[in-house]
Amino acid sequence: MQDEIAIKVSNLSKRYGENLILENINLEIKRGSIVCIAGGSGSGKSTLLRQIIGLEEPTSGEIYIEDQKFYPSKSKESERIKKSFGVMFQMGGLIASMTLRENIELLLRTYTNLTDAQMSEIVRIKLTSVGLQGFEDFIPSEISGGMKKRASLARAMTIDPEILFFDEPSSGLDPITASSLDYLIKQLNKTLKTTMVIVTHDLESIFDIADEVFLLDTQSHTIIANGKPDVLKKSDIQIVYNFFNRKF
Amino acid sequence: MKKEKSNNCEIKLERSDKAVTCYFTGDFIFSNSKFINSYNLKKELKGAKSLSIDFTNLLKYDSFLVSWLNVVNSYCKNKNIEFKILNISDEANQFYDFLNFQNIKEPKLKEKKSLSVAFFESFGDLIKRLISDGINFLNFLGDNLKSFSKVFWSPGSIRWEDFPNQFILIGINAVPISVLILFLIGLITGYQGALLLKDFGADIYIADAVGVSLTRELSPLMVAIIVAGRSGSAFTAEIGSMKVSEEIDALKTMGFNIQDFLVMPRMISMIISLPIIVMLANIVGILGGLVASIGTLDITMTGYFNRMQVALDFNDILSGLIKAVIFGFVIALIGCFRGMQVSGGAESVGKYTTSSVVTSIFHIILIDAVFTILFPILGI
Repeated sequence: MQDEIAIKVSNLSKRYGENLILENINLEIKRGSIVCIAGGSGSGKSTLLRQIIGLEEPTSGEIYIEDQKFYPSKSKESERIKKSFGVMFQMGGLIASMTLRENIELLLRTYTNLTDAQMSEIVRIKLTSVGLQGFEDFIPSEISGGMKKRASLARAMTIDPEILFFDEPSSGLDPITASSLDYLIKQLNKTLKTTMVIVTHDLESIFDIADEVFLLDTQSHTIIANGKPDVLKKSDIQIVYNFFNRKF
Repeated sequence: MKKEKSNNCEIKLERSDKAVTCYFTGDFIFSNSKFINSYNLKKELKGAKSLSIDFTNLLKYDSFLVSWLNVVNSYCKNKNIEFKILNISDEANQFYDFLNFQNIKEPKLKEKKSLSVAFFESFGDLIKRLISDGINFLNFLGDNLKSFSKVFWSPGSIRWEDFPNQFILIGINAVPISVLILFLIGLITGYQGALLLKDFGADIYIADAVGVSLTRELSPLMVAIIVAGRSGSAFTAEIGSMKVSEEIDALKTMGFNIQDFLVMPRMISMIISLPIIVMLANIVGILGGLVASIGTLDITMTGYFNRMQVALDFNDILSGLIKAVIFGFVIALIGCFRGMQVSGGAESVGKYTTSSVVTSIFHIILIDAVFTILFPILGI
């Protein structure tokens, strides 16, 4: 695999029983880029994400992350690769019984040998970077939906992963919060050089932040177009044109 | 010069007079935190007036570098040691600044309170919560009594489709564990009673002891406790989860009455099934007493049952069944009420499920005590 490729998916298919969800997916994501996986409802965007991050096993195909075979591979190997990425889930996925500090420290205690003072510093830095300084001792139910998403992003960034995955980051957020999250994603990408993979159908976000978009089609269950959002907006393929121009 | 080395990083320390310079070579990353933290910099800083960290040979870095520098910097500030970072690359410097100084939104900070203020505040909150809990419970009770009256005046408004399912879950599924426990309780009561009565030559009165204690007290009480733990908690968890996933809000907006739709089927099933389980438990408990009596005393099965007929009157059984009906009402009421109190997420469901079981058991025992005093006065 070439050096600049962070994620490579080859011939990936996914079925639930007889139900075909994804067919023959092939994609390559460049290191340090912001990539959106887009598509209509039910096109399998989140299912594709779940395969890439190892929450589900594909029916067939191969996944490479940071030059290493992630699927199929031995569980020990895939567990090691999992440390190189972070995930921000749609509903946050924060552990409800823990404070934001404890949610972030959980990773640090498990994977590093930091002192308590250093851990506190990391918690402060990460929460500050998402605009949540001072909320260290709040539990998730005490903060709003947008804040939960940002806290989830802070947790995903805890040990500086090389890749960050986002599942519908702007869903359920007001335009200002959604746009501040987009700004944050861009800043983090620019400064920390983290590869960002975003599953979304929010066109505004796509045009705002994406370097490249992969469009999944509900009918054919596969990627029907990829490229820069501005180019796809002028696509000759009717479905692609319709999607990026909000036509039906 | 002092030197420490690991696979991909190295720390060298130079001390001249009161100035300490730390040369760092290699990767300053999370995976090297064990090695870097094992280096006791504080010891080296004793008596020093300045500390310089030289990053000329820094290769890789991540947030660990920032946290380490911040902690060392704050230590130096406390000890009046001048702190300097030397020869750091522009890129690493930009990374350090980005993590340290960016703030995308003005935060809302939690107020820091003194311990005494926090204590009185939490005590006040507790009282406020208890009062509002009580008012909410009375509201809920009132709504339910109103819905309950509909069973007689307009039975069509209750969601009867849910009733068979609830009856199976609460009633039939609870029978095996309830009768097993009551058989063992009958056995224990019989055995303990036999030891005492044998000394007085009053063997035959074992039937009185087992029969009356089981039908009046033990059966309704034990069955109620089992059902509160099993079904009361299930009511809370089920309704709580529905609340978290906004199903209850959806039902409300669709014009459904939550009491009629969710609470009544559970409450009616509970009120009907509990006395039935108690009756079965009475029978099995008496059989448990029989096994203990035959095994330890000189009495026959016929003798045991003949005496049981004399000892037990209708009021003994009736009082147990009245308690069962009331207990059923209370368990369903508390289970559903706690479910409706759930808010937030999964944690809240767990909290109120526990609270539902504790509150139900407390009220069952409290009501049992009241009835124990009240029934003789009423002649039951």
